[in-house]
Amino acid sequence: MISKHESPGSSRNIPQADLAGLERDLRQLSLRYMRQSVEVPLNHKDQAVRAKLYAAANALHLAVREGMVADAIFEISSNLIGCEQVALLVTGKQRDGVAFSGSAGFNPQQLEAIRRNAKRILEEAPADSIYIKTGPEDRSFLSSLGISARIPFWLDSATKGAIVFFDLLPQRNGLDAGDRELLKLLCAYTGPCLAANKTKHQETFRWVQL
Amino acid sequence: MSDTQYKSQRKTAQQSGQKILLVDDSSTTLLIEEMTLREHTQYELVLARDGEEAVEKAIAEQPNLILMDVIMPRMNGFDACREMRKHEALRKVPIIMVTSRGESCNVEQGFESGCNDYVTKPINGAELVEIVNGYLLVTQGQSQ
Repeated sequence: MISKHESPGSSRNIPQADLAGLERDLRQLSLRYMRQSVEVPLNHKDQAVRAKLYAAANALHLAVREGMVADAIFEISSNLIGCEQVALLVTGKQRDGVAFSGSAGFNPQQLEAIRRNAKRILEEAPADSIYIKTGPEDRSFLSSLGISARIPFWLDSATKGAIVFFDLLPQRNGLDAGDRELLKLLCAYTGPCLAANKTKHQETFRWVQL
Repeated sequence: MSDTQYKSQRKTAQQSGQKILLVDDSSTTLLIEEMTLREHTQYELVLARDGEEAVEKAIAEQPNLILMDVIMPRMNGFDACREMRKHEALRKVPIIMVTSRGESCNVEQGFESGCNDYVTKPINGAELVEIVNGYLLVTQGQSQ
């Protein structure tokens, strides 16, 4: 069981060399996206995507330095994707429960639905793939809980997690190709960034045992 | 107005040293707004991170346009907008609210507080430049 304030990724710290490499990767990625976004004409569909990827990579880079990774994920979701209800769920092979951390904006019914279904949310659709709701015709279990997307990440070989995106803001009709690029970025970097958070900042983030 | 005249006016507006105050507590939104306007226009940019700082900077810097988030610490965008409108020099400055939610109640509240227009998050660069250029062309036309 994971108690409150204990890190879900406690089985392994990431080496300092990896930490420096992660920060360097995120910085280089951020600069590459920035260059791409200014090279593409403003009215080209890729410009907005590149600009958002730049802002997201930059936010993760700063978050690793400052120990605010989960907050950065909530910020990216709210301001770049248009989803204000985001949950981070983490479980491990040696553990019975699931650790949860969430953005503001969940109502009690939604929190109860997450608590009751946390394990299944992690394991559905299949577990190692990005799930994105296809539309009103999507009758999957995840869709029935009001989930718009779920992306997996790994803190280490034994500890996996997911970012779960619930209802989108009213102006968003669904997730588009640009959002998929952002989700892929989060899928690749959330695990390493959360692990770095623990190594560098002794994991100050708020995890609650479900 | 012909297309050539419009393009000429737009260029003039962008090169005339007009100033925009960008206000948002979200570093990602502020980063996108700043990068987009720096790369695709020549306006001078001033940044603020909350409503109180926005009011202070608006009074001190006298921007030609204000682009402001709604939900912010210390003072929200609607209250900041009301404060700004109390100052004679800021009464006619276009204020565009950046809102997470585009529902009618939020939009109405924004207009009641004195804003001129709104855009919804996530920010779209092309839409942002178009609305900013549009308002600055109008204000420049009025001042000539």
